[in-house]
Amino acid sequence: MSILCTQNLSFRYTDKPVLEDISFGLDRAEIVAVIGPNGSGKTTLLKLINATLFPFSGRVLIEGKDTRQWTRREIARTVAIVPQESPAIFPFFAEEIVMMGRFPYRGSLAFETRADYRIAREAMAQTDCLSFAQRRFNELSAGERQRVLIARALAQEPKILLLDESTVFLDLKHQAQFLSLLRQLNRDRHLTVIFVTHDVNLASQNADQLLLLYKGEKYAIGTPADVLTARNMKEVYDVDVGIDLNPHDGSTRVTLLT
Amino acid sequence: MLCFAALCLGAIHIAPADVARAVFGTIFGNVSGTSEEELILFSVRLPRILFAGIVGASLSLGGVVFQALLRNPLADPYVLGISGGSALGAIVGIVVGASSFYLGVPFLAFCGALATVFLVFVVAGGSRGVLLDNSLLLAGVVVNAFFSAAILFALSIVNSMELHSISFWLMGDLSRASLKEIFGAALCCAACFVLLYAQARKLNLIVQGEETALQLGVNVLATKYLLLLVTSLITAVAVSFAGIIGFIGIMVPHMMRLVFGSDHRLLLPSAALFGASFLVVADTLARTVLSPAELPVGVITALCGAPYFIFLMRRKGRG
Repeated sequence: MSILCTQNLSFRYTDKPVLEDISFGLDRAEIVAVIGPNGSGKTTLLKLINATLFPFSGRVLIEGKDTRQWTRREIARTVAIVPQESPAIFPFFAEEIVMMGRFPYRGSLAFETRADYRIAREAMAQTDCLSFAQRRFNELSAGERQRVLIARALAQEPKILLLDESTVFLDLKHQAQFLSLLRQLNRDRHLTVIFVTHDVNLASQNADQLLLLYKGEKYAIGTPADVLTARNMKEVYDVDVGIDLNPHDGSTRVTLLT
Repeated sequence: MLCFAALCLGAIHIAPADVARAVFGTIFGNVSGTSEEELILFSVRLPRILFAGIVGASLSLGGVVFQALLRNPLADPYVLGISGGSALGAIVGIVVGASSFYLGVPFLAFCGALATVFLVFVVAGGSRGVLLDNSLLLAGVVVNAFFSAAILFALSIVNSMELHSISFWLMGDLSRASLKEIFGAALCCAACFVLLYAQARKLNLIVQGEETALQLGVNVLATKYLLLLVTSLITAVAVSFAGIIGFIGIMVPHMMRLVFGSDHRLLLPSAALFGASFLVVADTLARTVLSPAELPVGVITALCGAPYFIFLMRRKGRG
């Protein structure tokens, strides 16, 4: 049974289609990067996968079950998303924010158990948040906030983790830490990771598969070497690029020719 | 909440020893007779204190929930125009002479409040059935403005005796409660509190944004409708009995957030308790400062509330 599968997925906010006839399937836990120009439907695709939105036509199946048939709590226990930003109107502590990731596991009335604290603490350790656990979320820097939001998503103990440009505010050290954490979780806990990014080299170095979206349609899907070709880049992004292999890890490397 | 009210009872009365004797006398059954003092104590002051507590708690709870739902720290229970609709209902009641029936005026005020909420829902929700916070807020402002105009119109055509009665009510008045009414209001307030408290964790998540709440497993739309209905009910009850008492709904949640943080599981009960005691104190001031004359309690809360608010805004350094 496939972990995630979309069948002829289409979506529109108004009359203009945002996503058109997207079909793909993931049979085992992989790291997938979604790339494409602005407005190509990347974020919308993530929202369809975690059932924030429902398809106009077609289906999204998670573990073989249509997202329409999942309850909110079930979805939240299976799919977690790290949003681009989160509003901070009222002053919550960073740890409280992470603890919210445990909501789908508890009743509305219950207070957190010891196990919840352990899981939240572990998530915060993994994203290097423990030093500011007791500070207020709205007083943190953008990068620190992002790490808190990542920790919250990890505290949900998802099987599928969705990332929407989640590395943009991270400094180099935390970017490296986070990417190796993702690979480790993917390997050890069979976590499927789907991340949206504009950094094609980051995608190439870290993803098993690339999904290239263009004008709401699936332009290409496959290994980085298959997708990142000079022809595709010219066609989709209208840029000239040089393609070679990164001497450090052998991944496909894209260089903008300006 | 009850023991809290009882606590305040002791602090308020002029002769604490007599009060204590009377209270204990009643509790243990050996009533010494119906002296004049006891009569004042139990049939005038006690209902009023209990009532102030209920209204204070209701308005504070309303403030907490509306601020969370609209994700706007300046929201209060009146933000959706509930006060306007309720006031209009009460004025109609006073003018047509409904005050001669048991619960006549409060009932009409209550109808006015509920009609307003319904109207706001219709204006804001539109045909799509989606509740966007901004449209809700805007609809509230519009409806409120309309009712204010209607109230002014009504005030300009009634005679002077009714005018006094109405304007006192508009400024907030806790003196018209009878024990029977208090019992109903208390029951309603308690039921609403239980309903709201059951949603406390969801409120925490909704404050993070509706999409986030959805992604973390909250059925946002259903929760939101439930919360709006319960909060409107609790506000309508407070307004229909006690008139418009401003600032409690804004102030108390903020103060409690400073003390207890933003977790609604602590915020809701603490706001209810503190709101109750705050209004009891304010009402006591209102009837003692100029005694034997009485001030509307709304004057006291606004006099305390406005400076506090300025302080809050300056301290935060933002509007």
